[in-house]
Amino acid sequence: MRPTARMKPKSFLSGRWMTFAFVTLSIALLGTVPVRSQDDLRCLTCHGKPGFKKTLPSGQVLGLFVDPTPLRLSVHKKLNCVQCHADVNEVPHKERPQRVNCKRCHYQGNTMGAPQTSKYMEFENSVHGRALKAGNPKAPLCQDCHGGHFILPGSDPRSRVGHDNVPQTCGTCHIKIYGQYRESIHGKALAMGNKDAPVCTDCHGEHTIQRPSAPSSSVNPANVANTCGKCHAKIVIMKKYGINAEQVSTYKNSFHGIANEFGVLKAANCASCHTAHDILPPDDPRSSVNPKNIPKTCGRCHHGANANFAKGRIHVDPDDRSAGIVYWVALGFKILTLSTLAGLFIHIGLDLFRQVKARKPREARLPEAPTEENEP
Amino acid sequence: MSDKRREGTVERMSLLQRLDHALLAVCLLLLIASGLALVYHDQAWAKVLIGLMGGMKGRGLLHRAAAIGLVFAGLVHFGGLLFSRKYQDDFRAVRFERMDFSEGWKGWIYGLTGKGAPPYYGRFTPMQKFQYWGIFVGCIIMTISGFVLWSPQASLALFPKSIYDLMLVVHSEQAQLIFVVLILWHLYDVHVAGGNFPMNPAWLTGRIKAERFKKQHPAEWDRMTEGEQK
Repeated sequence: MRPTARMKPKSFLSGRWMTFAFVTLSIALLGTVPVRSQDDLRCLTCHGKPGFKKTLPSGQVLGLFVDPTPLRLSVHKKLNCVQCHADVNEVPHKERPQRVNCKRCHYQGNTMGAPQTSKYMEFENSVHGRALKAGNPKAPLCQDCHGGHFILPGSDPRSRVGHDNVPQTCGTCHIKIYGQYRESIHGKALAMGNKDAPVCTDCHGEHTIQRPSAPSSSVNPANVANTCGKCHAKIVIMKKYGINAEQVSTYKNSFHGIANEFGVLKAANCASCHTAHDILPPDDPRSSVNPKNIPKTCGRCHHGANANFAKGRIHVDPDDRSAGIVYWVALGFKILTLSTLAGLFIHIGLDLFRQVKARKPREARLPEAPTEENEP
Repeated sequence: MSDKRREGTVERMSLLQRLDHALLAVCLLLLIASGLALVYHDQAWAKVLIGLMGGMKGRGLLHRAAAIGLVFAGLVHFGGLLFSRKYQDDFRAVRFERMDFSEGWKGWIYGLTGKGAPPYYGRFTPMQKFQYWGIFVGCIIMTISGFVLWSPQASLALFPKSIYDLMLVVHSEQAQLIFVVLILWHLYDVHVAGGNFPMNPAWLTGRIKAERFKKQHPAEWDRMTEGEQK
């Protein structure tokens, strides 16, 4: 009976011992052993030994020990080693196993129970996916961002792709930018636990990420204002931090913004002045938009920019009282133009009225003419 | 002048005035089209206009070229004031007088109610004087503010950015006022108002029919015929 057989755990016929015996015997006799079982134990025979490692020809030591616990706590807890490491079919492996290809399950319409998304396809078209296809050895695969065995949903705060951990994850490769970001107002806010603070993916996108020169990139010069505007044009978010939510619309109505709208991409966008990763508030002396640094910042395009560039507001909203004299001049002109327009309408009305009135007697006389002739 | 008047027409604009007017008209239309497209950049018609001008670069070039044309038209005008008898006579006539207010008021009452005498206007009606001075002052303001905006580098070398911002708002708001006064009001007056439909031909031929002139500018007509009788 099966149940009774299972109840003898230490028996030589139990799975663990049988596997061990089978593997040892096969290696002794044949040199290799086919891996067919769904059972991880065969893999853990070697990979489960702490300190299991290999020295590569380059001298680099590759740790090969695998702790099975994280996998059992991850979203892939029900999977076995070879379901992902699918190219491993004999022990010891004749060739070094390839990195795992997540596309085996992660595609739209899969029947393996993986989420139904086209994110893998998005990744393939992204800057990372294309670098990978071009054979760039540094290009990241899914597991470089999501982790290998301990993959958690993005909503889990422990996840490598969870909101708070994204900068560190991207920073694994983008070290210099990570350093700049950490010093920026956004990075500092994130470090203080601010959930509004943008992380890399909020501006750059996730699987669709493109290099900034690509027109579809969310950080392409043509799209920067809308990307920053996702937060900076929202009054609900901005009023929490005392930032004017009109900054995006004042930019869009400025010479820079209009030129940008009509495809002049050398015209300044948000990042041209505020920088992309080391954004700091204007009162910080290191900020690119600190009045002291404005001549230098403007001077990147406007050669020879002097201190006059800093004398006055940059984001001027003529419809807002804070604009000072500009507001009052605009208001005065608006009143003048509207009253002139009103005067014009009265003028046109009077003139047409007079013209119609002047014509009427003549028209009235016409039908009368024949009757007068007929009368006598 | 008197010979021509007998043929039934009166001279309104000299050849130089007509050429100057044509240059001014073309330049102002181009300036308004290329300028207001920038102010109303989020409107569909503005996008079409900017597209027709060859994008932002073409728009900027066209605006600046037309601005030079406008300044030249202005210089011709001032030159005329210095050297041309016709310009000088017209300039004297276009100055506001106390009569303009009383006659203008009479004109309104007459237009509104049809009562009283028709207004006794001179060579220029009060409305024409208002338009002339509106455009005169408007063009000077637009030229000054326009040159400040021309090159931010050059301007900000001299003025603080707040002056630049002020000039920008003055330039764009004044443009809209000019649009109302010139495109709407002036074009209505010369093409529709007071029996001018389909148009007052003075800007092309320089002359209008004596009959119409007598009706629209009775005071000037009386002055001219009076001089003849003497």
